[in-house]
Amino acid sequence: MRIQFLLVLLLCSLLLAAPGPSGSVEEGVLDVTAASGRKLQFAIAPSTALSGPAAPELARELGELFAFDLGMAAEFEVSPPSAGSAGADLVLKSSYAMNGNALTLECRLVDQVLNRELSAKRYTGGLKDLRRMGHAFADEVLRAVTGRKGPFTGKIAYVTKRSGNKEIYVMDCDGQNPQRVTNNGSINLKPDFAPSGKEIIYTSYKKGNPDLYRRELFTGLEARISSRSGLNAMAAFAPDGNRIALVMTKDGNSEIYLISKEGKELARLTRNAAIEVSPAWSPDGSKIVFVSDRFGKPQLFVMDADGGNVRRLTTTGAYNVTPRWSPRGDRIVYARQGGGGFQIHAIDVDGSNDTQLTTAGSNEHPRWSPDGRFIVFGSTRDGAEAVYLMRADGSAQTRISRSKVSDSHPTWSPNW
Amino acid sequence: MRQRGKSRYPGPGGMFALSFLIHLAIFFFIAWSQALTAFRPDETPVTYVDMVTLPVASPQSGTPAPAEKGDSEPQAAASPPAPAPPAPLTLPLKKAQPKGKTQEQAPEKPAKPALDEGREFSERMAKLERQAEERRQAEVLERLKSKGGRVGMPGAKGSEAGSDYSSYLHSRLKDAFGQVMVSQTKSPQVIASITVGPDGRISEYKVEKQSGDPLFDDAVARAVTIAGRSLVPPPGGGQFKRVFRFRPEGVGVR
Repeated sequence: MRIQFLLVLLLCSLLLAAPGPSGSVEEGVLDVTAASGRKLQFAIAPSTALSGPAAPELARELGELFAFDLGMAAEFEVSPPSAGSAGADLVLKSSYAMNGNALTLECRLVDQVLNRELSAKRYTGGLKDLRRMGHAFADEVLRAVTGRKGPFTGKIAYVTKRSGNKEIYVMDCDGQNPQRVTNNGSINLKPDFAPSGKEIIYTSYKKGNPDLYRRELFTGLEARISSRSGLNAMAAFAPDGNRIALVMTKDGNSEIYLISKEGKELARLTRNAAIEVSPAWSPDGSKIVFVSDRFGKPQLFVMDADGGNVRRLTTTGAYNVTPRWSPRGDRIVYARQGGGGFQIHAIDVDGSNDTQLTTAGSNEHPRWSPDGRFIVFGSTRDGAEAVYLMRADGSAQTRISRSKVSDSHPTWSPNW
Repeated sequence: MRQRGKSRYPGPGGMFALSFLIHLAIFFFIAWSQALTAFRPDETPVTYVDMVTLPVASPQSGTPAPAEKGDSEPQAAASPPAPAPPAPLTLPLKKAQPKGKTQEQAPEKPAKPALDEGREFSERMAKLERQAEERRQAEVLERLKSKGGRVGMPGAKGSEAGSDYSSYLHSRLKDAFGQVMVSQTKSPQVIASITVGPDGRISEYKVEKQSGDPLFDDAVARAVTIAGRSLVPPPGGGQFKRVFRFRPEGVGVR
C-alpha cells in the first residue's frame, strides 16, 4: 500500500509538472505609429561638370527642371539646389559632360538615411536633349520611390491661337519646347493621343466640314478617317488603340459611334432623341462615360462599350460636361457649369465622393496625366485661356502654357 | 483451469504498476509533443511597461520615474502600478504606492456619505488593499529577481528606474518613425522583426509583411536605421529580438 501510495504521488506530481498550453504563447506584436501627412524631404544638389568646362547655365536649367517636376509630385517637399542637402531624406545628384554639341548626363538618386543609391542613369545625346533627359530622370525618381513611373516625358497637345487660327501644338509637361503640329490656317479642335503616344486624332475644318483626322507625329503623315456629313468630333482612342469613339451627326442627331482607327464604322452606341457627346473610355476599355441631356440637362452617364447598360453618374449640378476616366479607373474628372463659368470636379465611378477641384476663373477640358497623378486643364483665371496643371486632388495648380494668346483643350500623351 | 487463470492476474499492485507505466508514457508523449517550448528560459515575460517615461536620451543612466510627470500620467493610470525598484526593492514601493492609492481614492471620498462608520470602514479597506498590493508587488519583484528577469533600464542591473528593453526599443522606433513617416496609401502597415545584437546594433531587420506601398516600406526602413544608430545593448549581453507593426496613426489594424 505504501509503495502504491508513493507511486500515485509520483504520478500526480509528474502530471502537475507537465507544461500547460499557456507556456508556448509568444510575445505580442508591438505597434509603432506616427502621424501621416509628412512628405519626403527632397534635395537637389547643384549639377556639376563630369569633365571639361563648367556650364552654369545648363546646371541651372537642369535644377529648375527637377525642381518643377518633382515639386509637382505630391510625395516630395523639394528644396532648391542652393538650400543644401542637410536633413533631406533623398538627394538627387547630377553631373554633365559636354563635347561640342554632344551631352552626357549622369543622374543619381541617393537615400541619405539608408545610405543607399536608389537609382543611377546615364543619358547621352545632344545638348538639345537636355530637358528630355531631365524629365526622363524625374520619371525614374518617381518609379524608384513610389513604384510608379512619372509622366514627365509625356507631351501635352493643345489648341492654340498663337498663329491667329486654332492650330494644334505639343509642348513638354512644364510648358517648355512648344512645337507646331498643324498649320492649315483653319480651325483644329479636340486633339487626343493614341495609347502609343505616336499618333493624334483631331477634328479639323480645313476641308469645310468638321472631319476627323489621324496624324503620325514623327512622320507627319495624316489621314482623314471620318468625313461623314455633319459633325465628326470629340473623338477618343480606345485603350487598345484600334477603336475610336466619336460623336457624329450624320443621322440628324448628335450620337456616339464606334469606328476603327482606319475610319470604318463599327457600331452606333447611342440611340436617343437627346444630344449625346464627349465619350471617354474606362482604362480597361469595357465602359464609356459620356454626356447626355436625355433628362433635360447635360449630365454624365456610363454605358458598356457596346452601348448597353446605361446608368446615370452625376445627379447634382445643372450642366456637367467633358468627362475623362482616370488611368487608375477609380475617378472621373469633368467640368460643371455654375456661377458664370465652369469648375472642374472629380467623382468616383459609383457616383459618390463628388469633389470640386478648382475655384478661380473658368476651368474646362480636364484631362488626366497618363499615370493618374495630375490633371491638365484650360483656365481663364489670368485673362486669356491658358493651360494649367494640378495634382489629382486639386492642389498645386500651376500655369504651364507661356503664350499670351488663347491655349486650350490640353491632352497629355503617354511617355514618348 | 482456475489456477492457471489466477496465476495470470497480476494483482492490484501489478495492475497499478501497469497503469502507472501507461500514464507515464502518456505524460512523456504529451510533454514531448506539445509543450517543450515552455521550457525555454529566454521567454521570461517582462511584466511591466512604462514606455512614455523612458529616459530616451540616456537610458543607461536611469531617470527617476516621477520626474516626467506630465507624460506619464495616462500610462500610470492605465497600467498596473509597476515598480521602479531601487536596490532594496520593496522600500520605495511602500512609499510610492500609498501615494498613488490615496490620490486615486481621494475623489471617491466626498461622493460617499459622511458617516463616521462608513469612513472608518473605507479607510480600513483602503489600508488592507494597500497592504495586499504591496505584498503582491513585492512577491512579483522577488519572483522576477529569482528568474533573472529584465528589471530596470536596458544594460542596467535592475535597480534603476525605467523600463524594459522592448519599451525602450519601441520608444526609439516611434521617435524615428515620426521623423520619416510617409505613405501614399490610406492604411499601410509593415510587420517586421528587429534583432538587436549584443553590441547594440540592429543585426537583423526582417520584413515579415510588406505594405504594398513602397513609400511606406522605405519609411519604415529609414525609421529602423535612424533608431539603430544609438541603441544601448540589450541587457544580459545577449541579443534581443522583437516583432513590431508599423502603421500610420489612427489607422486600425487589419
